[in-house]
Amino acid sequence: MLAGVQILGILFALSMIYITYVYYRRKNYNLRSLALWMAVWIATLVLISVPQTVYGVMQALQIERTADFFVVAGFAFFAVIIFYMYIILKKTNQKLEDLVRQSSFYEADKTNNKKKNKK
Amino acid sequence: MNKKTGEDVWIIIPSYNEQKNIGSVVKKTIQLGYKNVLVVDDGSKDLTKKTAENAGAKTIRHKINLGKGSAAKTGCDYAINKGAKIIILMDGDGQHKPKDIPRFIKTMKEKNVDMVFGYRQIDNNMPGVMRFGNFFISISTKIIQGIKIRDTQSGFRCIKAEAYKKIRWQSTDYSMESEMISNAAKHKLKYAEIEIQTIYHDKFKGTTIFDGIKIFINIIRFKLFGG
Repeated sequence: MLAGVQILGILFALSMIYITYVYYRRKNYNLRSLALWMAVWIATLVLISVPQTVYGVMQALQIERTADFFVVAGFAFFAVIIFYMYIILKKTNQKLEDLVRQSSFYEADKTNNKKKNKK
Repeated sequence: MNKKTGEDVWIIIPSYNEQKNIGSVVKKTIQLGYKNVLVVDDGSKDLTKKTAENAGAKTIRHKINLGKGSAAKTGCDYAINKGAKIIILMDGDGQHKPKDIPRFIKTMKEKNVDMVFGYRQIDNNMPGVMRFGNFFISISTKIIQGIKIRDTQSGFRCIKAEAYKKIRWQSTDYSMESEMISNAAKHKLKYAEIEIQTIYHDKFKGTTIFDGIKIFINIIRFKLFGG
């Protein structure tokens, strides 16, 4: 018999599988990203449906309750995601800055050359 | 003023929505004999660029607002590409007096230093929050960075081209002022300070208390991790 929280978790995982597929069909990302996120949601679905799969890990980590394990694992997972997004954002900001700068140099030189030719 | 010196000197003025003041700043600077006055319009929504051009400045425009640090970097990179030997950084809001520029250059040559920092006299003209903030940040910089600068947040500075390559910052915002000092300390650059006059048009413009907290955190961050 599934607990209430398990039912919620399964519904959540199924919803995310559906949303992930829809956005793939809308070409928001490629097949590789789809495969990665599908793996995440399917793993979530399996772990929630069959929590016995993590009992070995829980014992090794000395975590008593399955819910605690999911909270800790979830926190670690999202901390990694946030760090990864931070790195991506920093890189994107740098690229944007470089692009705007190059564009402004090009426009400035174009304008200055026009003025020189007029003289 | 020596004609040759004038050609090697570039005045970089990062500006954002400074249509009201930029014309006057540029005119006064050009009247001193400096022909390389470069206004970097950081994505302004007004006529900053046009006003600066009409006043006689060279201009560069960012298509979007990137921040003061980015605008200053754009100006300095451009000036170095065009052969600048000395760079003067000043604000476009009329706070800094162009007539102080020759004193920066004179101090740099006489004391043979890589950088000259302008410091604002702490008096009743400076808003109270700024006075406290400046004092706290200066003390923090001395303790954490090991470099004694009277006014770490003054944007009126003079830098040699070779020194710029060493202190070139990553920050895109006001943090550049602190990062510049941190990099100067790291590379053990020689520096001097001169007193400058400052006019406060708007008490609420510029750095706030929250900016001050961010600057303090940045002082520690630049010391530990660099830019």
